[in-house]
Amino acid sequence: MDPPYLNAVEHDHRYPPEDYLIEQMAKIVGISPDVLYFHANRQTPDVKTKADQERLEAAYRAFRRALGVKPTGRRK
Amino acid sequence: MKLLRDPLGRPIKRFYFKPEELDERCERIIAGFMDQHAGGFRLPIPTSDIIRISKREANELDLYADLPENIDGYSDYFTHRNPDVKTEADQERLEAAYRAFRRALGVNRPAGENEVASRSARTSDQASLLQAGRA
Repeated sequence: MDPPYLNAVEHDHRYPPEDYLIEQMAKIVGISPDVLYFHANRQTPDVKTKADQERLEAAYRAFRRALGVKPTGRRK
Repeated sequence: MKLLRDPLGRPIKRFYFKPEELDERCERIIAGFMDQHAGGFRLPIPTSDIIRISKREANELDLYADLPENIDGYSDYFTHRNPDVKTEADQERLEAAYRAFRRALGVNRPAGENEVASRSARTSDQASLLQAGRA
């Protein structure tokens, strides 16, 4: 992974790297991998569970509440 | 506030506010908002209230903008419409959001992964990596 590649990813000119590289980058820069997964528009592997719909919706509500954002689009 | 003029004396469509004028206007707006919607003004102003008022006042609000290093927020002002506001979601808030998300899902972060490896150690590495990425 070289500086031009990082630059391209940062400016949305390239896709973010594989999960294991995201984990490595997080370790190097000393931040939570969650932050990098978020900016990569990707779900962290540990939350890819077979949760039912209601639980998933509750989880996203909690996520949005903690971020202070409101849902967009159609709601039930 | 004053309207700027070009060398021929014609008004330029751009506002000019002195910092103290901006402070005074912002304080008045947010105090009014908190009186109405947040049970009264208090300090520090909760982030959620700042977001709510920004959503109300801004033409466009981007909470996850890609801003240059050391810049947390940026606004474009216009004479004919409300401003576009850009901020970067802070890392702590994102981490808190993921904690809430996992709690609601009932999953635990895999063992061995620290929430934040070392906040004190990250600064120089992070800066150099990001700088390298921007080079």
